[in-house]
Amino acid sequence: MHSGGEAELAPGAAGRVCVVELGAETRVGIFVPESGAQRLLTVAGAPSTLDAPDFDLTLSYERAIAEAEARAGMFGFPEPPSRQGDITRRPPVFAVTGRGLTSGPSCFFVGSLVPRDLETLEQAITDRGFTLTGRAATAVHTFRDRIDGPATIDVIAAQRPDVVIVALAEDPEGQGLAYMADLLVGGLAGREPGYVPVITVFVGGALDERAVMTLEQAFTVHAASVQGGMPDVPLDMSVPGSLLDRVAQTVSDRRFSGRTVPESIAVAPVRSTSAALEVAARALATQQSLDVAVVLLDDDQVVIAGHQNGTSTSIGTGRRTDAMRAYHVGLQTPVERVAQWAPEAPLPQAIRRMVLNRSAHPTTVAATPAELQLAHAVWIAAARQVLRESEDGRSPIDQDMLDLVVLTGRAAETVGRPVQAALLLVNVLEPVGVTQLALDPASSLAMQGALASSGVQVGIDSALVPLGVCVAPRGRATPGEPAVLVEVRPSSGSRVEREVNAGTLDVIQWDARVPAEIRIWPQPRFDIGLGNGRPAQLKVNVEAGLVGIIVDARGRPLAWPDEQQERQARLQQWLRSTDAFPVLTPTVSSSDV
Amino acid sequence: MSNDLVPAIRRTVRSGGLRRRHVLPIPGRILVDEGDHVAMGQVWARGRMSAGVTVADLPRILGVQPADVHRQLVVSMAETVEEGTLLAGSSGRMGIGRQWLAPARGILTSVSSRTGVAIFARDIREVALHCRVSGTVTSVKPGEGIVVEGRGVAIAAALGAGGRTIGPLVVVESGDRPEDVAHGGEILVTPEPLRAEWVHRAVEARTAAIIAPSADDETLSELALAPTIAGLPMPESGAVTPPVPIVLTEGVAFGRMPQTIQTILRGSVDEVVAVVASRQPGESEVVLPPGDSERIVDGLRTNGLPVRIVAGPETGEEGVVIGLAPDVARAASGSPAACVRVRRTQGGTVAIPVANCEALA
Repeated sequence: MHSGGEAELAPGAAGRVCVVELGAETRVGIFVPESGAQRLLTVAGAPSTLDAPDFDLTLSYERAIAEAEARAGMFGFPEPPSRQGDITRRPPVFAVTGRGLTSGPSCFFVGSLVPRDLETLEQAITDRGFTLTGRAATAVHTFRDRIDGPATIDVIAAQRPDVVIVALAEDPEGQGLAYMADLLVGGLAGREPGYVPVITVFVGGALDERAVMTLEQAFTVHAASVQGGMPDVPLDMSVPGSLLDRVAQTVSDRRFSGRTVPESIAVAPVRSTSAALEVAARALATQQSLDVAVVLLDDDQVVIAGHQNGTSTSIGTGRRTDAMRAYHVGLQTPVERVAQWAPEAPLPQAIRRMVLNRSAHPTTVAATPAELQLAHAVWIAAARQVLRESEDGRSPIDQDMLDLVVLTGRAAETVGRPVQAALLLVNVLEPVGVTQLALDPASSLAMQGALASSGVQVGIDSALVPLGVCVAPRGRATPGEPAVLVEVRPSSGSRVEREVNAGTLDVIQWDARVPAEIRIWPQPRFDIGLGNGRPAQLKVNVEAGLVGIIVDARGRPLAWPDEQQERQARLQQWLRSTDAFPVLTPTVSSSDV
Repeated sequence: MSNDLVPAIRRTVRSGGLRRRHVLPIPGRILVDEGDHVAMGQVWARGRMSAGVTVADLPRILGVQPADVHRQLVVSMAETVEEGTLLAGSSGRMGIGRQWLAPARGILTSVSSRTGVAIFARDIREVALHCRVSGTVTSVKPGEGIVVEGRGVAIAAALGAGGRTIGPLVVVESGDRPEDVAHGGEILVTPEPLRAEWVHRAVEARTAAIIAPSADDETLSELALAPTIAGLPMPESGAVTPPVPIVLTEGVAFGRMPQTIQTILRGSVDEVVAVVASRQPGESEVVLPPGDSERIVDGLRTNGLPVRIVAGPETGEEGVVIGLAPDVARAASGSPAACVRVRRTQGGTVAIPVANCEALA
């Protein structure tokens, strides 16, 4: 449980609000007002009942709320319960976030509009949270001659957008819309099970009713006649705007397709995990004037969000538009990349078994150190792949400009030792220089970001636990050669000095309650940020946090021996030197009692 | 004590009231109305599915007006043609002309007289959608689907491999062969881990679906029971879908079906049940009619909460939750985890993370 300054909280916790997160568990975050901002009071969850055999989110939502009540006690829920499931006791749901949820539908645009109106319409689309996945557009009115209709249908079938928008400035002979209707019905209807897009039509002048009826036989259709759209008369956006709102509602209604969802969740604003984490990263960065990255590692999604140099960004695993359970991220992560991070060289079959069983039994925790190591290997490989496969082929996170990095998600909740969280962050992001590391043990950052993006002031940093600092000089040397010397001078207690060789990791620990002065002397071929070989002293004293200082002298970018056994030996050495996992011996996961 | 733990333990069996939304996966016609009583297996909607669809803009290909396209057709609708067959246009002198050839073996399914847009499909199937629970239709949304509320027992399956069906339930005991008990259309239950050879025999006996506990990696690949992870080669068999709908109640390499699941399923022997074998995780289930199975589930709960263990060295074992284990706050991996004590069916008591138990009743 995370509690804020309790003395300042009003008894009765009037003004408390709730954010719901959907995933393997249905989780609720209860926030209470304090000093003008909402602060997280508690997080509670229950195994999701969104899937078989219940298909009813109500059950797990009520269990999560009950658990939150139990944790917060009279402080958070002072009113006596009148009956079980009493909705008057529940804080209002201000936002919903979690797997597969996006703030708006995806859409594909087909049409003939002059560039001015196309721009206006696309702006209206994005303003309503739609994501434009593609377009086949022309400025000329002889639409059919300029658009390759069959190819467009193939692209739509491959992209599977929620919505297909057909916008024609004019359709005097009914050929434009009739053509699209025949293409869409013939080319999409019944082609892929489970894919039935919403069709949205704007046409300047009279609607071709016959074509609309053709579309309605196969799809849910929103159609309207609009004014303007001529070179000298701009498109009147009042009709398309209201129509787009209705389309968004139709798609929203399908979000929980086949499921029963409490009304309070169904109507609550939806924030994608990426968007919520971007907001959280921005808030952390702004509060402390830092460049920040947040790494979320869940079983079924990986998201990395950052706020650097005043700009927010995020990137993650595959975009989906429904809240259904997805396969474990390991399914899309190449086996050889996972093996690179697994010290025990798992067989591909073992990775597959783990991935499929974690998909089938999504609430499980690693029962043995070996299982946890494999889970971490999958997460590291998946997150690094996400960074590698960003749209422009470059990581959106500048590793040279990271002051604070935070681990959240399922990985944060389940780390066995704090240093594991630090290693996950360092291995995923490869920060350069001096970087603070923090853990979000309740995995509440996405919930906090979702609330903040609803326009509510949120005190976001209250849930974070400092892990310590990573000192990682850029440079390369023969493994075994000295790379950097780090000196820690605690304000009380003895000085610690540690020389770390190239290719290795080390951890320096001291009394967590005592701030320390840090001095760093890189070797001539290493740069801590001031130039090769130039020493640095941190401007502020540092607290050890849960881990201390991780000295990462492995160089940037990380280099691996080609030979598999040597690579595993190096990985094992890194884990040993940081005491990340218990020594692996044949173990049982439980105690006979 | 065990009842206090129920909220924290993931349930995989639901008994009593069942509410199932039936979503139209393709455009189709809904055949029932709100308030109708429907039986398990009753057809609630019909639609048409096309595979291998090719869309052609014939006026552009043939260089004619849309109104003239029909005169250019060489084959008739719904006539199966071989790949390369001239569908429309003329071969012209020296075989060069404006023409549209069949891209595969298949059928010309439609040609719009208004726009000349033509659709060719490798395969067309009329699809009937069946109710997977008996009860009352409480909602009908045209173009979207219906909701049916009724009673029964639903068992969540760990993995499915595509398809859904209904049929009478038959248990194939250990040592029996599928062809000994199947005569066509049955849903076979085997308590043993699945083997490819066993499945092939079941398919030959025209089995409608298979419910099994588990399969090893080789069988998964051979029968296309699960997606291949990135970096692994596709299965040598080349199969992309299993020969019949198959659900695994436990997962990969788990071993035998828990006795509790067997007991529940045996309560519906010879009754019509529904199997949903979806590739989408969390969607697959077996739905049993109300009656004996429902009473069996209720009875199972009276002796404590039956669970199976789904991770760690005890994976696949069954037991009954006998209480919290407040002295154990972490899994052996070191991960923080509330634990419960489970009395194992095979004897002994063990502390297991709550997250690694699944309730079977």
